[in-house]
Amino acid sequence: MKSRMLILSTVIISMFFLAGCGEESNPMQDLEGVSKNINKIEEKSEQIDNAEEAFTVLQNLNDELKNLRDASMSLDDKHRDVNPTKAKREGIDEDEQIKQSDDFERDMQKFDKITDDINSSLKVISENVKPYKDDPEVKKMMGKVETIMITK
Amino acid sequence: MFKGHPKGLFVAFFANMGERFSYYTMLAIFVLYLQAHFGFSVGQAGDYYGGFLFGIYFLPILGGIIADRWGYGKTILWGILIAFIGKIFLSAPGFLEQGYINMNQELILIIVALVTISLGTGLFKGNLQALVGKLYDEPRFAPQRDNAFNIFYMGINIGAFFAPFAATGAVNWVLNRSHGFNYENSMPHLSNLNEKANPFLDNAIETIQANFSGALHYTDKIAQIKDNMGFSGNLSDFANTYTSELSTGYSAAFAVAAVAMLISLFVFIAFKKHYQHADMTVKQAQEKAAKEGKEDTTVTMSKEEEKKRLGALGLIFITVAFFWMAFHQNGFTLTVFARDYTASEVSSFTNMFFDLRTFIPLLAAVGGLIFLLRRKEPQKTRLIGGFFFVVGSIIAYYFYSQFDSTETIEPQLFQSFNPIFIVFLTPLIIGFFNFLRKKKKEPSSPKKIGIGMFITGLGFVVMLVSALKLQSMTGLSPYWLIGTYFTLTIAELFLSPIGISFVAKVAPPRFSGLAQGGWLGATAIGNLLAGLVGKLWDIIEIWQFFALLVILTVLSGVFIFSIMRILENATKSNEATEATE
Repeated sequence: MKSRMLILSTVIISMFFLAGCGEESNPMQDLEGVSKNINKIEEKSEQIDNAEEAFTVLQNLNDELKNLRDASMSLDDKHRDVNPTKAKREGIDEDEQIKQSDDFERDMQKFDKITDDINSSLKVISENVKPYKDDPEVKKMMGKVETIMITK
Repeated sequence: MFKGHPKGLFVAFFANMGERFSYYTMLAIFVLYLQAHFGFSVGQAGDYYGGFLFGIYFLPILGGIIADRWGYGKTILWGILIAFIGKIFLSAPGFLEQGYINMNQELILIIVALVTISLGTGLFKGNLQALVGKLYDEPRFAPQRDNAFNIFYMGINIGAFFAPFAATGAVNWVLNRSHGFNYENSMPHLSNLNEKANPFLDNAIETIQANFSGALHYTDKIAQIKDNMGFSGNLSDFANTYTSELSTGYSAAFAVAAVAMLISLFVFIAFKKHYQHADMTVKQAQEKAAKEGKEDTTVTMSKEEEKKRLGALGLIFITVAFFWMAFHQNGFTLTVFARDYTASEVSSFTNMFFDLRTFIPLLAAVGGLIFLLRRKEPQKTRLIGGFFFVVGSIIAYYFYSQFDSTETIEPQLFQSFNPIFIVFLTPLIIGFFNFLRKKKKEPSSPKKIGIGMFITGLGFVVMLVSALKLQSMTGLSPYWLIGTYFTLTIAELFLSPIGISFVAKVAPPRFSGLAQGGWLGATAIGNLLAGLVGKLWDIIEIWQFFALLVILTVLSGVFIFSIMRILENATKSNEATEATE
């Protein structure tokens, strides 16, 4: 009985331990991954033959845009964290405060470069799914893609 | 089902019903409140949710230790009062003048409220169960113990059933009263975005908009909602007013929860005479017997026997933690699933199950029809059944005919299905066990608990299939979630009341309160795990999340069956003790 209790307790404690050891995410690295994946989706979109395939492409795109959204929001949070008390005291508004942060410009430049790549892939994907846009399921998924950046 | 029980059971039933109504009213909207008012992510809200649930279910261990020395009734009474004060604190921010306290102070107040509520519940919950168990120590009531806990469990769930409706009603009332707003689940997040500077997100949105003409910026979406609700001010005014009203609505629901505690308090004080004979610790009973010169009839056990029983209880406690981990996804990820992946617009027929005005009469009609068709019921009962069938059907049809062809449902309403299924399935499960008992095939309590674990796994198989369906479609039918709640409820009925009854049977008498506290402590660990596992929601695929829950619950079931002999021996030694008595 004792050994069984020990095993179970160890399982539970390990679960707590593992939950506490989450890997720190790096939004810029995540974004690079998103860009690569959207590029692959672009390639797949070149072979769309029917509405079902268009749906799958849009669904995969939606998942990647969700990651793009999360990474963008993480970057916003990161730069929003710069000493709000000091900013308030010096009368700097939040937009200014973000822009004045040390590495904001550097991150924004990298971000612009990545979104440029994403932009060119999106252009191809949107053209390739266009012929199927009236299919009801494709239409619904398109709706999701169009609102994914503002949903949570 | 209700015959042959001590009146004290019904006092406990109603006191518990009031407290659970209060608790589930606040729980139905708790995560949504944290997200709306403090702008928390699902993960952050999950930390608070998990921590709070841990307190609610872990502190009964402390409550049990106190009551085993101090007395059950007195501890329960203090518990109700303290939880009442906590709920007043919780509702306070919504009724304070805006700016009276800042966001950080509000958060501190909320944390204080949560600690106070946990403490009050800790003193109340397990000890009320222990008191019910003690009512059945009397030999004439002892055979009814399992049934008693099933009835007691129904009380919990009647309270829990009405809770989300009360919470939704309070929120909608506040939203509607001055600006004619209605509930819009995306508004808290949109408003939160609108309040901050988001240069990276804005840049990303522009990229999407350049290629998908229908893509919206959050300000576009807020503007759409503002126009739909006919608000005349500017965008920021609308976002701020809506969020503020929504927060006040949530606070109003917390206030409803506080008032419900007073009902519980009234019942427990006014009908004290029905339970006070059982409201005694072993020491108090021995002292009373000595004082009155009567024979000491309290059951005492050898240290070895106590150790054996506590060991069996410990094994059960640790294993059922996994059940609660999976089951309590209902107030967390299953609610998020309802909000994000389930169709929020349903047909008028489906809406009948989400609207109290049709659902209650519908249930009354079905119940009435059952009694009407049962030939063995007396004529009078069948006539009453017929009355309920006709009147229930007419009322349900009346309100159904007023619905639009599509209606909007709110995510927290899904949580009502579990309690209503409990109320309706309890008599069926009791009937099923009675049927098996007659055939001498009724499983032992530990076996029922093990089977319950497998049924839990099955419930999450339903979610797994629904998550896989998300790969090829959007806006799932609400019946997937309803099906999961149905299966999880059957699992719960195999596991929870039977578990409480098992604890009452096996616990050494001088540790009655502590043992019930231990059962709830296991629930606490499960709830903490629920919060931790819930964090995976944002990390892994949805189908993987549900697959993980299936695996964990099935493994727990296998484990229970592997220790079956130890568990059944503990019950048998109890039966032997009762026979000796």
